[in-house]
Formats: sequence, structure tokens, C-alpha cells
Amino acid sequence: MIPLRASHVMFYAGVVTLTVTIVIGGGFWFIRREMLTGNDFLLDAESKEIAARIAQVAPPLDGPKLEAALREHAHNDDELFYIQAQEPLEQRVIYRSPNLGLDQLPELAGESLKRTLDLPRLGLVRQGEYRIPGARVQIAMSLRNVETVEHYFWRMLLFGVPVIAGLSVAFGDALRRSTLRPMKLMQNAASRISASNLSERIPVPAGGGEMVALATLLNEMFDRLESSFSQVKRFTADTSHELMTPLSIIQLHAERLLNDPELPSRYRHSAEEQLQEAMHLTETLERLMVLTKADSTILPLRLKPCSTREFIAQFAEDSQLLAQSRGLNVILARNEDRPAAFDQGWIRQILFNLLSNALRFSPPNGRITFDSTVDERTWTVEVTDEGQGVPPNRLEDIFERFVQLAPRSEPGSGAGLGLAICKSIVQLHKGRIAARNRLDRSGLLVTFSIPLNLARRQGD
Amino acid sequence: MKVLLVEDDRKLGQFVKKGLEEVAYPTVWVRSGKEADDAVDETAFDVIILDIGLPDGNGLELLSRWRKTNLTTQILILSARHEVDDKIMGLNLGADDYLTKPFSFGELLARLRSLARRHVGQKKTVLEHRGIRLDLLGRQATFEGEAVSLTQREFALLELFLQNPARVLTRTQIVEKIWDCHFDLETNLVDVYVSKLRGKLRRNDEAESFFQTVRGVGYKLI
Repeated sequence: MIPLRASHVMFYAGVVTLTVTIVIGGGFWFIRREMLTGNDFLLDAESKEIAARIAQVAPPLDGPKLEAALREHAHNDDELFYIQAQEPLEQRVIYRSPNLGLDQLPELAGESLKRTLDLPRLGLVRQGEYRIPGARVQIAMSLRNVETVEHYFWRMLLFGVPVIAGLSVAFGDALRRSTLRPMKLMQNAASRISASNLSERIPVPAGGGEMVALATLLNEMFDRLESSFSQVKRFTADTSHELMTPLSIIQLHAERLLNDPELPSRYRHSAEEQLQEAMHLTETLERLMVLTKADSTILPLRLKPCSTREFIAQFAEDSQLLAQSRGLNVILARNEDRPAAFDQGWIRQILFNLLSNALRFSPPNGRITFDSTVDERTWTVEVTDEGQGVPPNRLEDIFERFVQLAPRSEPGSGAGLGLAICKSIVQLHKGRIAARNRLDRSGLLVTFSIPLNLARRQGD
Repeated sequence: MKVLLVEDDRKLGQFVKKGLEEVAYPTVWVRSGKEADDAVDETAFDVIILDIGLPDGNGLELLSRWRKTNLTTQILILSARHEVDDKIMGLNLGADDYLTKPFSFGELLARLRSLARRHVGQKKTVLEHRGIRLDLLGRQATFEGEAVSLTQREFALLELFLQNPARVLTRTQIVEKIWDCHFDLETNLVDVYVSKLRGKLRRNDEAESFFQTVRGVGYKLI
């Protein structure tokens, strides 16, 4: 999300900066061209003035007369022009204006040529070459003003463009913020709304446009969500009420029969069977309701801070006792310690479910390994057994509802909801659970991991 | 002990009323919140059994209204809701105990008796039963005068049994109380722990254990 928005601002700033650079550059190029044109015009005008001045000289026109005329003229214009004159044929220099100093203007080939030159002392000049009666005259003008402009331009580019770029980033960001503010408000509201406060709605921004449409659309979606959530809630409440009451009656009657000393022994077994099935049905119903609630995230979690090591150590004690009673071994490979926040009852339920599966499928003397590790953010528990494993194509299935790994008649087998509940509870904790077959030998490896600090993550 | 039973289901209400009267507890059975209100106004009961799902409203509303009018009768909530939150809410509103459906009649009876006793008795710190002595503050167990070493879980389980003598504890109830889990653990963990306790608390002259197995259901301290 953030890089995308940042890239928008950067794009905007880039466009602004590039535009400013082009405008400045183009402006400079235009000014420079205008200045050069102006210079050329002045050079031409000066050459005409010189020609006019020389035309006034009384014939015959010789070197000294020419020089005197030029000196007289150049004296008036020495602030602007550098002047040099040559004899047309011998190319001997007749006159050099004093402001030229030691520099010499080169002779340009052809007629009325103009060129920009870099002289050793005078620097950049624009020179024109003119043929007038009796002499070849080279007139030059300093381009210091053009250089000043150029210098100014570079300074502007060097300091101005970063400033413009910075300003446009800041302005662009401010613009983005003001544009995205309604979006941000909507985002905050949307992330605040969860199963516990589904009646809250996104504030619809004032005015019209896309934002209003979007907010309205989202609110309509929340309306639908709320109604289906309350349906689920009502359904589970109704189901439990409608089914648990008849189950109570079955159970109470069976108990009454069993408590009657006059009950013929041939019926006693039936009554016991009835009681057990009623209880089994109750459990299945409770599990189904937990799954329904967990899937619609209306199952409340009691998150409590707890040390992972202490929690697992206590569980290991129970599991070792259980394994011993069946001639199996439970090994705790690692038990790393980190404070975590989770629903202890539900996570213990997951561990016992995984243990009970592992116990059920272990061969005699089999070994079940628990490995509890933590890193910065996650707590991972791995349960490994030495049973037959699961056919690869069913590895995903085993977390689905009513998928049985063993025939139901086997003692201790549930309704095939154990792993489905594990998955739902892990998902409620924003974690993952997966199973794979061992590679080193036969056996199943189930791993679940949950964030260490779910409470903080939920608050994000 | 005079009991008011608020339960809308006809068969269940009938059964409970009949059962309570068999053990000589006169019972008034009503099937709606309105009737319950009238009954409470007319008669002073010792215990009220209150179902949450009623045709004319929620039992919890009745409960909070009664408590606001300073009704001090002991109230046991009977509900199909198994959520911990519902239990906490019910108890916060002033219920004295909470029993979820389906339930065993023995359990209901035991809870009613303990509610009726509650106003005289106070919370014990030492539990005793036929030579077993459990010091809850000192966390010490003795059997016929001799110290018995118990793990944390074994101690908690024995405490649960001693607090509910002669009452059937289902495996699910035990799991809920000791392991804080919501369902049966799909293991025989409870049986393993009970057999541990049996091993540690054995009378030489008696073949029978303190912990009687109730087949398919759970255990009972005898």
C-alpha cells in the first residue's frame, strides 16, 4: 500500500521537476539565442558605422589616414567593441583597438562571417568579419553578459531544481494526504469493525464523488455481513436450545432407568448404550457449534499471557502419563521459552487432539515427539509419530470435517471433527496448521504455529 | 426446600418437577417469564432454576430484574449455552450457579443442595472424607494420618472429588475443571489420573476404591 502511494508522489514530483528544468533550460536557450542575435545585429551596425566613417576620409585612402579614422571611431565605442583592421591584400594589421590588449582577433575566412571565439585574455567573444573599402575589419563583442546569464542559469539549475523537487514532494504528499484522508478514515473504520462491533459503520465523507460511493458500498457490505453474522449466532443459539433440551430428556430418562434397581439386567445394557450415545451426540453437536462459531469468528478467545515453556512442560507431564499407560513413549525434543498470549484451554485442546491421534496410530513401543520452538514472532509446535502416516493425497483432507482416519468403532475415536477444530482454533489465533509424512521413516508430522503476541496483532 | 422451576419445555419441566418432588422438594413449575414473575411475587422460594431461552424473552433479563429488586433467592441458571462468556455473564448478573444442558439429574440435585446449604456454610479450607484429608491452604494431603505426595493435577482432581462427594462427575466436567478444556480430550487422561489416585489412596482392608466408575459417564467419590 505505502510504496504505491509514495511512488505516486515521486512520480508527481518527478514530472514537476522535469517540467521546471525544461522550462528553465528552454528559456535560457531562447534568451541566449536572442542575445547572440542582438550582438550580431550590433556588430553589423558597427561595421556600417565604420564604413561610413571611412567613406568620409578624403582620398587618397592610405594606411595612416585609415588608422587615424579608425582610432577616432574606436575611441567612442571602446566600451562595447574590439576592433582590428587589416590591409585587404597584404593582410598586415593596420589598427588594433587598445582594449584588445595582447589578444589578436583571428582572421575569418569568407565574407561577413560571424563566430563565437574563446580568446586567451578577453574570454568569450562574438566576432564578425567585414570587408569595407580599403580594409578588412574584424569587430568583436564580449559575451560576458551571455556568460553571466549562463552562469546564473547553472546556479538556478543547481540550487533551484532540488528546491523545486523538495517542494513538489512536500506539496504532492500534502495533496495525497488531503485526497486520501477520507480513504484513511474509511480504512480505519473498516479495520475497526470486527465480529464484536459489526453494527459500526464507516463515516460517509461530506460532498459527493467516488469516496461517498465507496463508503456507501462498503457500508452496504457490512449490513449484509452483520445480518449473516447474526443469523449464524441465532442459528447456533437456536440449534443448541432446540437440540440440547431433547438430549437432556433422553439422558435424564436413561439415567433414571439405570438408577432403578428393579431394571431387568437385559435392559441395563440398552440404557447404558442410550446414555453413551446421547453424550456422544452432545459432544458432536458442541464440536459442530464450535466450528460454526469459529468459522464466523464469533467464538471468543480468552487470550492470557503465559510462558510457552511452562505450558508445554505441564502438557508433557500429562502426555507422558498417557503414553506410559499404553506402553508408548513421549519425548519432548525442545521446549523453548518465550512469553506468549493465547487461549490456553483451546491450545491445550489442540495439543491433546494431536496427541490422541498420535497415540491411536502409534505402533507398540512407538515414540511420539513434541518439539516446541519460538522465534521473534511465532511459536511453533511439531508433533511426530511413528505410525503409518497418511496417504499423500489425503494430507489436506484430514483437516476437513467428518474425515475419519480410523473406523468409528475404535475406542477413543471422535466424530472426525478433532483436526477440523484444531484447524479452526489455529486460524482463530491467526496461525497455520499442516501435516506431512515423515521422510526418514513412516510416520506423520503435524505442525502448528501461532503468533506469540496475538493481542498486539489484533490491536494493529 | 421450595423450588421454582422456570422451563418452557414441557417434557423436561415435567421430568424435573417429578424428580424433585420424588426427593420431597415441593416444586412450582412455570413455562414463561410472565408466570415466573407472578410466582416470585406470590411465594418465597429457596431456589430458582431458571432456563435462559424462554418464549417471552431471555432468562437473563428476568435474572437482572429480580436482582435489581433485591431478590436474594439462590438462582441456578439452566441453559443450553456452553460459551464461557454466557456463564460469566449469567454469574455477573447475579446467578449463584450455572448448569448446561444436557445434564444429569444427580448433578442438578447436588447443585441445588449445595445452593440451599450455601447461606449457612462458608468456604472450607480443609476437605475431609473417610480418612482423606486435604489442606487447601497448605497444599497437603494426608490419608489415615500419613502424608500422601500428589502432583499438581492429582491434587486438583482430588479436591474436585472431595468438593463433590457422592456426586457423579462426568469426564467432560472433570476435563473442564482441571484442564480448562472445552471437550473431552479424546484420550483416557481422566482415567489415567483416577487410577493414579486409586493407587495412592488404597485401604488394605477394602477391595473397593474411593472412586467408583460410573460406566460410560465418569466417576463418583464414595
